[in-house]
Amino acid sequence: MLKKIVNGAAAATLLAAGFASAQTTTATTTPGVPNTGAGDIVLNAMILGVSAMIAVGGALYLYMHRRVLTE
Amino acid sequence: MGKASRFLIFTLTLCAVAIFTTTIVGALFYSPDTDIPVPQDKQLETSPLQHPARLIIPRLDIDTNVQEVGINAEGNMSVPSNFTDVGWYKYGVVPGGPGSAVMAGHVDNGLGLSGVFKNLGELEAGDEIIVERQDGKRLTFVVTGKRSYAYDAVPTDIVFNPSGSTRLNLITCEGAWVKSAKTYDQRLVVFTKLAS
Repeated sequence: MLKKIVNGAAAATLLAAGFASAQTTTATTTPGVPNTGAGDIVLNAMILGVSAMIAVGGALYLYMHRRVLTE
Repeated sequence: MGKASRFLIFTLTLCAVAIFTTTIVGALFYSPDTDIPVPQDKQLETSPLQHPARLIIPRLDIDTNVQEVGINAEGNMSVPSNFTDVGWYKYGVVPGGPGSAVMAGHVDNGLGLSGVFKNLGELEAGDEIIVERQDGKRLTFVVTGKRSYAYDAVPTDIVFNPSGSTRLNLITCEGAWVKSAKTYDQRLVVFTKLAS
């Protein structure tokens, strides 16, 4: 979170500098290129797999022991 | 197994469901960027009616919504919040105005399925790109070329050129995933110019 705040402050400073030097044009500032990849596919797949296994395993256990729980 | 253990398993199961749901929504449907606020007086003074509403690329069978995006905390152009829309850089040039307007779209989603600009590289010189504005007016751009750059070596002064001829540049990712930088190692830029 701290890193995000620091990055945000740095970007805001750069942005202000960009505005100051670009007042005569229609564009206000030049950003960096966008990150148009959606993320780490392998990591996402692993998180989904592991969380699904835990969820299904836990649900099955609770279902099989439901009688014990209600007694 | 005691009551405490059963409660622990119940909690663990709930957490796993929450993590699964959050991950799959973020990977497939909704992944918003973190825009930083920009002072109102520094923003473009253009009529919202001139802003782009839809992007149509007949050759790629694309007819999609255009989101207005700003700058994220890293100082980069933000990306659209889903994988089917494109984002127009709202602090840059308006399509049809002097200079280079920029739109970006995802190449894929978080599970590797196709994003809106998956096949952007198939565009060739002469292909038409149509921008429909909020007022319904349509602008036709023609592809003049395309080029791939290393993700940290894109000539942003050219891509986001605020003056010169009326252009629209389309950006997406390509190449291999760089784990340390959490991004693809290349950017594909398709350059177009206004035809009518």
